[in-house]
Amino acid sequence: MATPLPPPDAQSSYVPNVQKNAQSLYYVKSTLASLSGALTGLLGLTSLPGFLFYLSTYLLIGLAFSTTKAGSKPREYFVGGWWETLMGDCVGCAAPFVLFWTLFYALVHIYD
Amino acid sequence: MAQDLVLDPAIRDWVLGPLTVIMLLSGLIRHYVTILLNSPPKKQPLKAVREQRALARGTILRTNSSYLPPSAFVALKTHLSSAYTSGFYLKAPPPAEGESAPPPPNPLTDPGAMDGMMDMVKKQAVGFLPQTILMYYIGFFFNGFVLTRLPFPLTLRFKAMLQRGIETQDMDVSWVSSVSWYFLCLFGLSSVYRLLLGEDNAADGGQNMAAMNQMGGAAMMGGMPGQPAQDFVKLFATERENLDIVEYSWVCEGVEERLLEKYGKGL
Repeated sequence: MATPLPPPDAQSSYVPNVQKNAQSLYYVKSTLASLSGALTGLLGLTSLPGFLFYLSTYLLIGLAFSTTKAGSKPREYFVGGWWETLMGDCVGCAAPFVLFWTLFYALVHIYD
Repeated sequence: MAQDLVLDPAIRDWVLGPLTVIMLLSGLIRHYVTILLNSPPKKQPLKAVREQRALARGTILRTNSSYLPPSAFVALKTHLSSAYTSGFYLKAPPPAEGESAPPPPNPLTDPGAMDGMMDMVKKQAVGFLPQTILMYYIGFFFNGFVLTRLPFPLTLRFKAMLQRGIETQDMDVSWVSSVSWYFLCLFGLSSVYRLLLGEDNAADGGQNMAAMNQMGGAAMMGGMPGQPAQDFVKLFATERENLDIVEYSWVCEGVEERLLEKYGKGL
């Protein structure tokens, strides 16, 4: 039942703050993922270009977040550092993206 | 991309729109029903809280031991160990030597445990019932429509999943039926709920299922609210042993030498 000492990295960060930071990051990311899905559908992109568009907007959001909110030093606010702010939860945000992509693609390009 | 099917705009107005709205609203309803059903946590008697806190103090002392100077650590440790041994913090006085502890109360007759279980059942019902009902409802009312087309190609394997309710052999896989649109909404609407209801919402069906699985795991491990009372005599004994085997080293041990090594090169 002995609890192992946390690694020195985790010791220097306060868990509730880390969670709050991650929460605000994923709030921004998931919202903008659905917006970028809507945009992709409106533009009428299909298959590979659509996914590339998703990836590029996702990276752009992450970059904007880490340069403004995290002051270009995401290592200080997120355990994962640059990788987390840029690519974190990329797969999880894909579901709303696909939903809005399909919805707007259908509304604009299939029914007319 | 060749458009080989023309869909009636009435399908958009009477199937695609309503289906999406129903999914969205059902999530909102689930969120608010969960809030209504969530009863505030019951107040525990003072002694029970003291018992739990006493155990927590041992854990805290163990994890932060190195920040305490040796005298403080030893004092705290001896105090806690003796309290654990004597059972000073126990809710009921410790059983005498040789006498066996009274059997734990039956969880089915204990009213406190029953309340906890009812809460669980209610929460699970709120999580599961709407999904089953909606699934049936959508299968019943919106069966057999081709709703939209996915903007990306898929392999033939997805045909059974995406075109449920449409028995057309040769149609392209990316055309989607209403039940499949239901699934897309189920997994994709989480970001909308997050936007509308904030971070800690109970609207998302997919997440609910994941939480349910976790709760099942917790129930197995004995972390449940309605769990029959744990044997604190034994817990205290193990905690005392854990305190005994702490490898204590003070962070300030030899700090003068380290400081001089770092900054006092010129001296």
